[in-house]
Amino acid sequence: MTSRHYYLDACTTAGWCCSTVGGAPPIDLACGGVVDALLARNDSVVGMSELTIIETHDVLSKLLRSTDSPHFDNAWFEQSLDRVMDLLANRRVTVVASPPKAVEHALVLVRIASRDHGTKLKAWDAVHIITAAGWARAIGDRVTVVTADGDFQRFFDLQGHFSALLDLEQVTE
Amino acid sequence: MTEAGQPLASALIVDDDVALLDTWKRLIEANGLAVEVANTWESGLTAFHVYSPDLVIADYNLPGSAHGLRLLTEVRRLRPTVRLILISGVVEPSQLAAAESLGIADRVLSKGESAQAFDVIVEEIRAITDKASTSTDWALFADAWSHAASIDVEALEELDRLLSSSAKSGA
Repeated sequence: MTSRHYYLDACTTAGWCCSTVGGAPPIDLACGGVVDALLARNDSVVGMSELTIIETHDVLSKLLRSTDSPHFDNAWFEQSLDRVMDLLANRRVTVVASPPKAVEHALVLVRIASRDHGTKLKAWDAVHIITAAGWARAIGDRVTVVTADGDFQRFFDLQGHFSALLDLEQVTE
Repeated sequence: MTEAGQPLASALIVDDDVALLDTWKRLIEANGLAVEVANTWESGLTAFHVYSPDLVIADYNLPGSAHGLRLLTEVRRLRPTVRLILISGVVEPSQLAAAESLGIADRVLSKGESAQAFDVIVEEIRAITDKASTSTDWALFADAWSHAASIDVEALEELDRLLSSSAKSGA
């Protein structure tokens, strides 16, 4: 059976964590549905990077600190981190190493986005793309970046040549 | 490394001679190395954006731009630590040292001495592949950045003049 490879960014992973709370917004529920479906398939290889892990932790921490969401309490925070760590511990999700010069590469992409296209490319979004592309090269197959962040589509529209290695699965409400 | 244990390409060769590119790529791979290839200035720049190679080898005469120097200077400005090699079918062997001394490219090779040029390319790709797993040396990068910010236009024009005069004299 041929496996398909999927790369989760932080937006999607954090959305998956948030999808368990009562009254979760539609986009988080959508992330939860997409990620659960991927994890349930036996023909999918699901990956994330160290950046995904730390960014997800950052998003969850911000939600924990927010005072306007009673759902995001300490129990939810700990349980969410446990769920992410369980995925890694049982190897259902593999951690993809970023290329050694990923930041140097990102510097180029961020610079040409502004200089040549007059648009913003967030630094960490660039690193996600570079990491997913590096994974695709290493396995010799295409990787699908799963994201709920619209900035990736805008980047792909500008830098279409990454589509030689990557597909984009845009999670929407 | 690929999952099959092969090195990921850390080098990019840009040349409009597709037959030569195919031959070189095959021979480089036969040496246990990997290389990305492109045959126009635009596709070379695209490959540079996607693969971020540590070594770029460009032909002087590239369709889609005035010359391969434009590609090398763009790469130098974007990632100043990338090693640059200019190859030319028109440069006379006696002019190689003069062309290199202008500092636009780290090396200038003559296609007229094809076997010798290829040996140098394999040696350069092997050296860059061996260092591919090292992370950025930011002190080195910053130093190179400050030099790249002021690419010597006169040197660029001189190199262009040198190479185009060779072309006109039918070297």
